[in-house]
Amino acid sequence: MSVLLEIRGLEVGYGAIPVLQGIDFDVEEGKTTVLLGLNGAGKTTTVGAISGLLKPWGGTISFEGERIDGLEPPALVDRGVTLVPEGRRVFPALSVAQNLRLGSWTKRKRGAELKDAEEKVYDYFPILLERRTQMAGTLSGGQQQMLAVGRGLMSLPKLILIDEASLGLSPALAKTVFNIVDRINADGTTVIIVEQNVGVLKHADNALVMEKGEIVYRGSGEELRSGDELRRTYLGGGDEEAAPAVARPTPAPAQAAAQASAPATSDDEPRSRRRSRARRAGKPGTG
Amino acid sequence: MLGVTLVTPIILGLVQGAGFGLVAIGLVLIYKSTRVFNFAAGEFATLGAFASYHFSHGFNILFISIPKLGLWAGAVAGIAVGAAFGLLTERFVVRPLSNRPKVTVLVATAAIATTAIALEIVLGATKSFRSGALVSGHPFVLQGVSLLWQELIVIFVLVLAGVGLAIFFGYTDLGLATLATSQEPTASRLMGIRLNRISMLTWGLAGALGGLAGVLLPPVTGSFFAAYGTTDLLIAAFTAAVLGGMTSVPGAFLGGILVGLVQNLALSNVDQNHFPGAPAVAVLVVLIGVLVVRPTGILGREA
Repeated sequence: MSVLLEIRGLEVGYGAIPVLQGIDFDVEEGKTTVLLGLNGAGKTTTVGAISGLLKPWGGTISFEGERIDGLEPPALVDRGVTLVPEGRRVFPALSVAQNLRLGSWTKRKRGAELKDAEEKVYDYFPILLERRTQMAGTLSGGQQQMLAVGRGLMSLPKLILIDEASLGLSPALAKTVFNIVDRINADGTTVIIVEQNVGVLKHADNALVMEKGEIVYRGSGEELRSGDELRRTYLGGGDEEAAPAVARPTPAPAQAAAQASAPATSDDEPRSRRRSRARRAGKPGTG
Repeated sequence: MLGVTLVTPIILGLVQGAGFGLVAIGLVLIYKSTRVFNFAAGEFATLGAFASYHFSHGFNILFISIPKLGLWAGAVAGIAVGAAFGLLTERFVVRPLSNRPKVTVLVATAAIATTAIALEIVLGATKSFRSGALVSGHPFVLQGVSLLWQELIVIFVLVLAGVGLAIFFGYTDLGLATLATSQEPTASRLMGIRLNRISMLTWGLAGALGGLAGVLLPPVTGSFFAAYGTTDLLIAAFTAAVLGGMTSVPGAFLGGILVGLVQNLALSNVDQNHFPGAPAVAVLVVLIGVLVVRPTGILGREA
């Protein structure tokens, strides 16, 4: 596998306050990389710099072998780098269909490809097809998250970065979103997921753990997930699908029941086997 | 008798309301994209009127002599100057303040208006100007009321602008992008939409609409003068935009017509000696009435 994204010595900050202290990492083409860490670790800053929202103070970002640091989001989206921002940020007073249409803004002349992309989005998220004329602001949190991811996919990305995909979602919904991310990845899009939820590790090829603007652990998702000691050291424990990196109160009985009754998705199956099975089945990762 | 109390004010109200509607649509465009009320909107119209008049009649500026270009070329110049003033406002005032609180931008637009008024006083002192109608010819008579071609043009242009903008926002990618930018600027950037270009488009369009109002209305209302847009159009246009829902182009269109009708009906049917200011009070009563029944305005949603 070739390296799609290469980060070297990346330094980013806000005002005079540095956040990223010269981080390095690679993202392999066709893989899912998870960026884990507590609040304030620098995860969102990292994807903000990759997507062009934040100007790097130093270091380099290369995509497909070319420097992209300092480019504006329109140029990056055009090259195939799309960020699904934290908090969904759908266009509330536009319909689902209009939100998706705007996702393809930089590629709006590529009619046939967009038609396929739209069909694929509705295939991933059938609820969006049902709600296509509904105003996005009236959707539930989970549906808005689906719309945000779907809108990102309409830009025909080679690399999609999803910031806090499970934030505010029930464990069952978070699981659904992660499973769809598996399918998106299996269909050929490289994925970076920013998460506090260690449940995402089941869906990761590679994992990076951030702390105070530095990468303190890098390895495979499976390694981090199965190594109790590692997980305790870097993420403070937690081994449920929706367990966050930070300590969270015990789920309410209803939430626990939802978790228990969520569709079984061979949670303990290694990521690589899940993906090859998903590819064979044609509906990857849905179990 | 019916013509004087009802038909005349209705026709005049439609014409005048169409002018208010044009400025109101400009206000709505700016509000939709920046969530700011543009106090300079009236002066987009005045500058358009000044430019139209001077280019039509010829003028001298800094050793340069501009010949008479005629009414139509003057009208085009008026619209272009309105658009240019909108673009300049965006580039040199609104864009540098884009990360500041909205109230700062609001105050800045008021400063633009006063600067424009000062410029107009330099250009025309304090006298009034009479600009010629774009289309002359015999007026035709409707229910005993004479109707000028210029008045028909004003109504026609408003309908055209309203329909055109409704199509633009409802059915074009650029229109959707404009709406998206006002709702979620960060997400719009992440979709690859260039916010500066959308902002320029919006301010340029609002300026052109103001310029258009400045070209079309003075021949109907009689004359124009420095600060004409702020004193004679802005309050009515603002009322029209609020009546329409502040974010709705068709709403601004309807609001403009409603304000024009109410003002003229009050003017014709209420004795001004006993009740001076009746038109303004009537508009206020309608505004409060509409907002009590429909707090979001007549069409208070995105259009």
